Amino acid sequence: MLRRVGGAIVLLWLVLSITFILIRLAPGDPAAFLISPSASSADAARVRAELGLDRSLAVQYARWAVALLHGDLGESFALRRPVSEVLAGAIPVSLGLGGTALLLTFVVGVPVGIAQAARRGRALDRALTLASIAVYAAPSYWLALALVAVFTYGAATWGLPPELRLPAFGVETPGATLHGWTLLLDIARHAVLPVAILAAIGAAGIARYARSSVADVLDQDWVRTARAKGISTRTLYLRHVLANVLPALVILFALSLPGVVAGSIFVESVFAWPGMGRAMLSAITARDYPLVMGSTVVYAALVIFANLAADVLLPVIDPRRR
Amino acid sequence: MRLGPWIRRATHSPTESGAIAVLALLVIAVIAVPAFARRDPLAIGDVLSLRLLPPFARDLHGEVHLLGTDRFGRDLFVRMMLAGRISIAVGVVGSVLAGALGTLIGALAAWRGGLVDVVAMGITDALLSIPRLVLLLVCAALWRPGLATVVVVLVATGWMGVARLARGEVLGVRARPYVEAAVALGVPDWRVLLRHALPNALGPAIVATTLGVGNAILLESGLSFLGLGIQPPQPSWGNMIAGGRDLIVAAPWVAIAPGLALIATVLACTLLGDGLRDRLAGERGATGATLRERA
Repeated sequence: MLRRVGGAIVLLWLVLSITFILIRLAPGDPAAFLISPSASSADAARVRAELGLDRSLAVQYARWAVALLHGDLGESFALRRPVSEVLAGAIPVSLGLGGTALLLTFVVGVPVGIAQAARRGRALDRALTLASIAVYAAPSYWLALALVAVFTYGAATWGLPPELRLPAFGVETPGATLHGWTLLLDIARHAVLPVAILAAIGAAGIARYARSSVADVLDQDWVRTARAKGISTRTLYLRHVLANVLPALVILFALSLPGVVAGSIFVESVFAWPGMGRAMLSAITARDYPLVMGSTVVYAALVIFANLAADVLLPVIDPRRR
Repeated sequence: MRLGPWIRRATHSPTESGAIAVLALLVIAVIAVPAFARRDPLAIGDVLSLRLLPPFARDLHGEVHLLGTDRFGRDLFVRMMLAGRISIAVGVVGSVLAGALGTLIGALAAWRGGLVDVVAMGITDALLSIPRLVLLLVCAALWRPGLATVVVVLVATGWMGVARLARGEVLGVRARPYVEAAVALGVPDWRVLLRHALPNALGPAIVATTLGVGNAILLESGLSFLGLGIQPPQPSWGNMIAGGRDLIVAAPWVAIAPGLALIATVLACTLLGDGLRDRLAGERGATGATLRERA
């Protein structure tokens, strides 16, 4: 256990060091984005010195590492605010979006996979397999645009009821001062399309996985025994099959997290949600080194610790792995 | 491992022969359609009379535009096929090079062992734990965007999975009697690896590379959509969708059509890769799908 946590921390450090080196190796001067084009080279040098970019790579690395160990992610070059403050504003947005989508992913994906495995090789199974691969093959930003077309353009053209004219941009209606339930409802309406897209793509992947793991379980001898004993199909699936695929589902959770995280970058970009993805994208184009590093810390930590959590949880729910 | 029988058997499976047919048709179309187009798909012509014509519309010159035109009056179908050349080429080249690099690194790590193995696998694991898209964005955005950058970045972020597979396979093959025999006969080390160990360890790497083609196409399109990949006027499916983004209400076909071509291609690649994997798994009596990161 302690070894695993230690391993995860070393891995995180390695990831961050690689990112640090990658960013500093890239051509392009962050100071150039902050000064006016007419500024003198002395001004540029002063800005570089202010940002600590005039020092050697080793000194920059050491400074960054010491600061990080003190929990300090530095100050954003472009926004002139502490990175932790910027991320603190963005993380809840992405976490809300991703968390809801992840939950729906499992609520939809697992039953679909079970239904497919139960009717393996039949028409329903084949149709769902093709559908899930097709959804999985669609880029999330394209699905987002297609849904926007249907629910704004389409809803107006085909005269759909006003409840179905879903807002396509932002987290809440701009300018509206809403409180309590109405605010929550407004946010929920704005969240329908982004969450639906992330959940659909996630569910398509999970369904394929759930199908193959349930199919493996259904081939076992004890399933035949249970059936011969005369238990109902319901009990068979709920008590026996589900218990046996649970470990696989926990691993799936850890595996699907990076996909949801990455997918949300595009969805946030299309729907103009002020989350992690947008923060990172604008930071990258502005050469905002501290903010790029800060968001990489968050993403990598999320993935590494999700994997760690799966490793730790696995023996708890699956006695065979103790 | 011989590919000949695999391909012959693939044509007996309806899904796989369908996938192969779709891919073949696409490749022929992306080569032929722009070559025989009457007007330059990149040149901007009579914008006022031609722009944003809906699909199947006939313009003032009597020409039919199968999928309509974009905001500059360029034929969408011809541009989509031209974009397909770039998207498919980037996907195939990016994935194959990543597969080759991964196989090389994985095989060397397994063959040499010791410190080489520890260092190579440490870096592999570290890179695997950053979401690939994040890594891709960091790399792509910091260098000058363009065709070469996209391919380099796809290779740089795509080799790790194959490296782990190849390492496992070579480790397994290394203990086989025929490898020991080759070593005992005094065959040079590198020759044993290249002639005897590697060819017998390639199966999973080839499957992963095939599945990687669709993935690479998706990632390229994602980068191009964000403006960090292929740059206009050179069309790719991703930047065509980006070009139709603010027209999604006024002229939805501009963004929708390239996406359909993209989905068809990725779908066909995935079905083909899945078929290959199932057949390889069948030969070895194992199953298991792999969850891939996508755009």
